[in-house]
Amino acid sequence: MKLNKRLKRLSHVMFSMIFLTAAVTGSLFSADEVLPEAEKILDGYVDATGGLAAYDRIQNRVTKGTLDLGATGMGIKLSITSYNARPDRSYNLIESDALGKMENGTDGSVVWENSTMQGAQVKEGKERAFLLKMSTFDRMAYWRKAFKKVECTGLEDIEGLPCYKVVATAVDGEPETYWIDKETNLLIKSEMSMESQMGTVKAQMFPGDYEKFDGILVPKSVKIIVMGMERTATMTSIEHNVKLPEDRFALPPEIQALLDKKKAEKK
Amino acid sequence: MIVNRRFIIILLMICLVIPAVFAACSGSGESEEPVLMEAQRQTNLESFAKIWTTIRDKHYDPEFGGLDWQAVHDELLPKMEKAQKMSEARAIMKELIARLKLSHFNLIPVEVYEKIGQPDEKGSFDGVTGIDLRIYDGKPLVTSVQEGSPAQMAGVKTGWEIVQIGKTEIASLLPAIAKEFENSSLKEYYLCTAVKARLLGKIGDSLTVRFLDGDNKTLRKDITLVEQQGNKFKLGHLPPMYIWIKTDTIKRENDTIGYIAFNGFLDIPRVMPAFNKAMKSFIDTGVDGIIIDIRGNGGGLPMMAMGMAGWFIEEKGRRLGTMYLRDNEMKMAVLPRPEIYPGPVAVLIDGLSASCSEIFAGGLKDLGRARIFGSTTAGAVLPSTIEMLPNQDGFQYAFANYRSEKGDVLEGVGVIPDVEVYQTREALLQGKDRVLETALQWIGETKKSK
Repeated sequence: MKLNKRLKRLSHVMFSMIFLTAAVTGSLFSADEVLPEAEKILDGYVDATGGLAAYDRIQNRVTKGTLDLGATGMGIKLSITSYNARPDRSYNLIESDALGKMENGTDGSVVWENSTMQGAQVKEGKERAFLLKMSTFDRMAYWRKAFKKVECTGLEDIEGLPCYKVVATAVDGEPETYWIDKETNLLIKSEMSMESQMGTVKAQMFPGDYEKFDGILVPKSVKIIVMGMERTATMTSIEHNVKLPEDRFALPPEIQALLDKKKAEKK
Repeated sequence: MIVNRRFIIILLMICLVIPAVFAACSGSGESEEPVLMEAQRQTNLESFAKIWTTIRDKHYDPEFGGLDWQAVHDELLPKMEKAQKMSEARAIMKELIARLKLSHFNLIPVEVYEKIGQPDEKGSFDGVTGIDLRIYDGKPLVTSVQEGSPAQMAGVKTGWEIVQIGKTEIASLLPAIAKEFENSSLKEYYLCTAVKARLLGKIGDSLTVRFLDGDNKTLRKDITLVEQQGNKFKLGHLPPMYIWIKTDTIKRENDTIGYIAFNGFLDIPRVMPAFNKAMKSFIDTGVDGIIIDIRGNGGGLPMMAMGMAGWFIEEKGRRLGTMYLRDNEMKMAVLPRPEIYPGPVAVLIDGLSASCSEIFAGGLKDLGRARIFGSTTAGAVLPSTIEMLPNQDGFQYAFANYRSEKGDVLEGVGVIPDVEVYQTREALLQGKDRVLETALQWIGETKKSK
């Protein structure tokens, strides 16, 4: 079932209503409307995307697709392959004739990156912590483990859809914001600060084209806005519970060599 | 969420710093220009609007350097509406972006893109003579002749002055350009580009060039153009470019010096492995110093500069500078390699080292990790990208400002070398490279002092 079509239809119908309401009240949220509890909204999201039991049945995911760097990325497209597995293991590969090969991953402890451009790197500090946090498998489905506090702060119009705005405080204290469709309970937008070697940057993501795979709804496209630059990830295949090789999340030799060197230096 | 956020971080690094290289490949002007159809006029107006709004919304300086951006729009729009020919419309769009007086704002005609993908023999800009040149005292001098090239076979020597290319007399070409860019850091860049552009043509065509040799005797050479050296590489909306890298080991007296030269921070799949292999070899063999020659290097991807700098910087958290967007900033972090070269590093630059080259040289200079030799760079350092306009022309615009690690703005200023060295005609006629010689000498002295 392609929910995005329904969302688009809804957005056309609702747009004029929303516009009028906003024009009159200045906000989508009227004073006498009681906002639901954030916990209920997030549980509603989990249920709408398949329910916890369906998530529990999924042990790993292999995603293939393309990353379109868009107009500001000069029309460059990259191919992406992602392997993710419980509880927090990942391996990601980006390949491009123009930009070479970029890999990153984690075995749940060591977070690493290796590319033609910058060589082998073991991540440390804030960057490691952030990347490890983001490698948690289906983090949003198990939001109670990911967040120590959640709060619904309003109702906002996102791309023509009324959405509950949920401000979540991660276990590490960092805030993240989610906009969840009032009608469908699907995630429409998220926003958070991300730690990288280039500093802390704010990123917005707009998941769309939800489609059901093995009992859960998965967005097949995600618009990403970082520093005013828009990129689009489009998934061409999503597989669950794939028989992965034993060493899929093992550290590459270059990373292991770095760790061995560090160990030797400490001695 | 299904999309791994780690990809986003990598995406941040894919932003471009590209020099103003397109002067040489602007419209042909070969035949009489037709009057525009109404639909074309409309797409030109939409293109004008897109340029104006892109700058309004994305330019890193919301004050537009003191310009009243709305007033510029209101002044030029009526002219745009009256434009009857493509060249007139483009001239107005160029005027619009020129008002900012910044590098990395360009219009790339659709004709340039139309040539992409055509066989080389039909391309207008793929054929070269094998001559490289620079302007000294207002005169274009041959600074190198590629080995095995038609120019070498024709007997062309370094130090010769180019006085005429085809029907163009250089003496009548350069003064106007020199006057136009009199107070600009890009003066050398545009003077050279003007001459170099006239040495390009179709592969297989013959070009008549007149020189003054070492005895100031006029010589006429008919040179058949051949394909440029390097790999023809295309990245996104950029027109294709020929990218090459050379690595070598120079023996000088008792010194062994590693040497790497490349003409663009592009073609990652070829350039980075060659650079990395050379660096590994230099480290393993314990060379006395390394020279990175980026004279004439027009720039490219800053992430390559960051990756290359990682071979020289041991300390984590160091940067080649910072890019400042309207609402954010990007630190150009250097990620140290597992093995670091600890010895002396010389970087060679000149007025044709632009963009990412300036970030690389300026960054290593500010970090105290390299000694810079040569002449001041182009001062064209703004991070930019290219979008397609409704009329299918490409629009290059800067989306960030850049400051070096010490906080210096290099735009319009350039990287000033630690040791200023200029070529002379005399030295070139003797086959000497004064900039390289000075750097080699410094490495030798550094070794002795230890």
